[in-house]
Amino acid sequence: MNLTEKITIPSTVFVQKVDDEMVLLDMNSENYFGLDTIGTVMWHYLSETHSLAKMLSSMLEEYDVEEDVLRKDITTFVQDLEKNALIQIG
Amino acid sequence: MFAFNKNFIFEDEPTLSKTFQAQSSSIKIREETQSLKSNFTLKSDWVFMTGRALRYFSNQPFNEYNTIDTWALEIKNVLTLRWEENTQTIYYIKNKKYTPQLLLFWVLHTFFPLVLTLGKIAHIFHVSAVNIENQAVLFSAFSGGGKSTLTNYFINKGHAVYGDDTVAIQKDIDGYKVISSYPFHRPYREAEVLGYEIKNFVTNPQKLSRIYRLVQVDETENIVIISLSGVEKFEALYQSDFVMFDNMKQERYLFATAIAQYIDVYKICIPWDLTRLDEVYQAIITHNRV
Repeated sequence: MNLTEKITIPSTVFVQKVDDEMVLLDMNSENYFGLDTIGTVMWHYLSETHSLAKMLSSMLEEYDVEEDVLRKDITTFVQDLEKNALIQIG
Repeated sequence: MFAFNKNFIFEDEPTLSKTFQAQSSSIKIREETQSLKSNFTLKSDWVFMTGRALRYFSNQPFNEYNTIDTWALEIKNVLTLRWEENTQTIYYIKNKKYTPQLLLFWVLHTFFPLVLTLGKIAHIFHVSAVNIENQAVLFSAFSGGGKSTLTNYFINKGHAVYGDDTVAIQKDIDGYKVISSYPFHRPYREAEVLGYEIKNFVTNPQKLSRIYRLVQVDETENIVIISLSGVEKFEALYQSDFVMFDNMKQERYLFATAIAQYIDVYKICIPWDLTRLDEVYQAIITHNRV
């Protein structure tokens, strides 16, 4: 995945916190998704930066994690979101 | 007839109940003879519910309103109901299959819940609800999932009831309150029937305490109660909605996520064996004492 690409959250996707999870609803499909604690943290950085590169650098500053591991986790996370039409990449 | 914290006055149907509560506001139900349909510029396609074809009439699209002051619902071959907000009146025109009992059913089961929803007055949950330890406890399940059977058991044990099929939920200063729906209970499956009258019916709104989502399990399995959180909690609340208009998805979502902050939601695994119903009852009672 190209880290220079921008991330857009469609206006049809709603996000609210319920307990320790984020609950996302796609209005078009009416599918909903829960993000666990780690997913919730990733969503926070993604929605703050709208950029994979900035998301990666911000999280590396904040967390004690290997860059390769984080890069892989972010890639998996955003691919899952894109597959379910919760974000648009590029 | 006392329902949804209102006195329903069926002015032209002397056979329907005259039981009222003092100091409660009223909804008048009045027959009219001229066609209602000419009053409206828009009508929906036919949709199917409870074995009947229904369609809506209005002067503005339902997805463009903030609040809508007059609209109508035709139940094909039975009757057409029209809501007039400023006079708090339901007008109806009889059709060939009309009966007073069908008027009562469609007003209480479907039409007035829509009035509360479209007027943004309350949210309607498709649940049964009983009083346990002076708290309103809701039971949610898919159709045929055991709500009415369990409610019947609680009635026989002397518990007061808020509703067998629906209740109205309203935001309160410190949480959410349950407004009882209508005093009928139907522990059997039959379309367009409200069922037996409930004598021990709660008339005052009560703070919403908790919801149990009933899940059928094999008759030999244990009764297990699990606290739900996150997306599972949201799902139980979101799927409890009675009214699911496409244009209200966002509102339903926000309501479910907001109410989730205030109440507890549990999944209860219910062995599908009527002889074990007392065990289920005792498990819920004990759980509410903890």
